[in-house]
Amino acid sequence: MDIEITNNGHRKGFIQGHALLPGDKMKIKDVDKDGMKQLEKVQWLAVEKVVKKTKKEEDKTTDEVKE
Amino acid sequence: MVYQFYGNQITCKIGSAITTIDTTADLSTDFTAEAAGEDFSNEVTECTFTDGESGVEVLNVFGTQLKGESRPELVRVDFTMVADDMAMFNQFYGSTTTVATTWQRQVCAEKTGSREDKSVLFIVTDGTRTQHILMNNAWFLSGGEFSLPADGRVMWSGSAVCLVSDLYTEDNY
Repeated sequence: MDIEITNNGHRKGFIQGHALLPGDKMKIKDVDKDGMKQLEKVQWLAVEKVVKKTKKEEDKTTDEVKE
Repeated sequence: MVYQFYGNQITCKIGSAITTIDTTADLSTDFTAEAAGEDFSNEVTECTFTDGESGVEVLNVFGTQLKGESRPELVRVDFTMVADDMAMFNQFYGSTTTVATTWQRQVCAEKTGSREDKSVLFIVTDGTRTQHILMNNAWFLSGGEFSLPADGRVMWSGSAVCLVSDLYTEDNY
């Protein structure tokens, strides 16, 4: 699954080769269950699943923008 | 010329243990890539780092004297830091639970047999000359000791230990 992580702490954090400042967000693609468990253990991190929009919803959004 | 380093040139980071210490990258790069760690530099007031001492004793025999060795003690680091939040406490007890929406609660439990391996990295640099000291597979000895003096600020102190074989140091000059 694709996820988005946010540094919810107030220190610089390090995750998968990236340094994240407080408030910084980062997207990670194709995280498996074990990876998810590991990330959820990290105290300062908020982990959210990225819900993929269906084609229909994407079209709807595009139409709304056109209007 | 003897180089001197100062307190404001030290960085202290703590994270999960590094699986394999890479021989093609420096220790700091390894930490950033693998440790999922945090930078505590802005809260630490003092760290005392003690290498594992291995004692040598004399063994007297009739004809001469022999040197007898004992195996090294654990490598130890003692932290003193500003009690900012529970982040260091959580290094020992693990994940917190969210309660009443905005509170993070630590439900403490015995950790015997299930302590988490951690890595503790010190970076000492003047911008050109850099030293790294890494304690890998380190264990925190306690959740920390809080000091609440009437005439001062609230401080936290704690210790972590690792085996001599998990201690790495390097410099680039």
